[in-house]
Amino acid sequence: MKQFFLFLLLCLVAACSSIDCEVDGRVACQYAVQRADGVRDTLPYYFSVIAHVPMDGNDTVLINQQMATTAFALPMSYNGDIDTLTLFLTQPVDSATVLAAADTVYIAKQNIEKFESPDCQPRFTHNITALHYTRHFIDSMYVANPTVTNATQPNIILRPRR
Amino acid sequence: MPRNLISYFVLAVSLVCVPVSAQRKHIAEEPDTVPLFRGVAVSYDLAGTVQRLVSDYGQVEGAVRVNLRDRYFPTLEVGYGMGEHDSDPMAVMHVKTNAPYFRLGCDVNIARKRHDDYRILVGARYAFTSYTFEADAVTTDPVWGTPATYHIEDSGCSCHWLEALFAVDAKMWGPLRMGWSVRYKLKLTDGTTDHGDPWYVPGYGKHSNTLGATFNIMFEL
Repeated sequence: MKQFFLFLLLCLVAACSSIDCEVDGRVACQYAVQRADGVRDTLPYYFSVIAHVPMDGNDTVLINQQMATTAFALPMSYNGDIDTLTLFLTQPVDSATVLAAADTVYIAKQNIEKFESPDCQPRFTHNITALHYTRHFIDSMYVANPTVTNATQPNIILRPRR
Repeated sequence: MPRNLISYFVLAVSLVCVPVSAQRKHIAEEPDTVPLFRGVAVSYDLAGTVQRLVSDYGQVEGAVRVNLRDRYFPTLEVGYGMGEHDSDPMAVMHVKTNAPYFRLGCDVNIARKRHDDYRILVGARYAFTSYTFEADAVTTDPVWGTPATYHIEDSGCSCHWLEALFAVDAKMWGPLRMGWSVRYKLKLTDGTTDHGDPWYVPGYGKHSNTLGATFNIMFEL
C-alpha cells in the first residue's frame, strides 16, 4: 500500500505541467558607440531614433531625446527584409531643441522563427546581412556580431564624427 | 494538467490490480529444463492511446516480444506518435508533429520463480524516430505594427534515445496477459534545430520529459 501511494505521488508530480517561456525574451539589436580606437564614446546632445514603417508610411519613435548615449538597443521588424531607421541628434537652444544632424541607416537581415512552446509568444531572431548608412554625424558603422538575439553583446558599432 | 492526471490515474490503478490477480495461481518451482524458445507475445499499449484521447499528444503502439527460457525477452516496439496543439484557448500557435518510431531492446525477468504466471522485468531500449516539426502562428509586429507570418517546418528532424524500464506483467486468462511499465528516458541526440527545441518527439513525448509509462494488453502464443 505504501508503494502505491508513493507511485501515486510520483504520478501527480509527473502530471504537473509548466510553461517555459523565457522571462528575458526581448530580441533587440545592440548598438555600441565607440571612438576609432575602440574606446567607448558618448553621443553629443539629445539622441532620437525613428523606425520607418513601409506598410502605411507612418513612423514609430524608438528612442526619444536620450542624453549621454553610449549604447542602445533597438527592436528589429519580425518579417521585414530591410529595416530603415533615422537617427537624430538634436541640440537644446533656449527652451527648445533644434536638429543638429540626422542619418538614415538601412539594415538588411534574415529573419529566423524561434520556437519555445505553443504557449509562448512567437519570437524571431535575425541575422544581419548588410548595413548601409548616410554620413552626416555618423563617421562609420560596422557589424560586430550579425546574430541578433536576446544576448547583450554589441551587434553594431557606431562611430560618430568628431 | 487534469487530462494528464486522468491518464496517470489509470496507470496507478493498474499497479494495484495486476499484481493481485497475478497471485491467484501459484506454480511450484520446477527444474530449469525448459526450452530456449518459449513463445512470442504481441501487445498493445493502452496508455498511449488514452493519453492521445484526453490530451494533445500520445501514440498508438504495438510490440512483439520473444520469450527465451522465461528469463530474457527481446522486444521490438513500433508506434506512431501524434502531437497537435491548437485546441487550448490559451495557445498562441498551432503545433503539429506526427511520425512513426521504434524501440528495440531486451527485458530480463528478475522474479525468483521465473516460470510463474507473473513476471517482474527490468530492461533497456534503444529508440529512434525521424519526424517533421510544424509550428504556425499569426501575430502582429508590436513595433512596426505589421502582420507577421510565423511558420516553421523542420523536416528531417531525428531523435535517438535510450530507455531504462521496470515492468510487471501477469497472466489474466488463457493467452491474455496485462502489464505496465515505467520508463526513464535519456536523449542521445535531441533534434534541436535552428528554430529551437521541438515541442513533441514521437514516441518520446514532450521534449523536456524524462519519464514515461505504458499499460500493455498482450497475447502470448
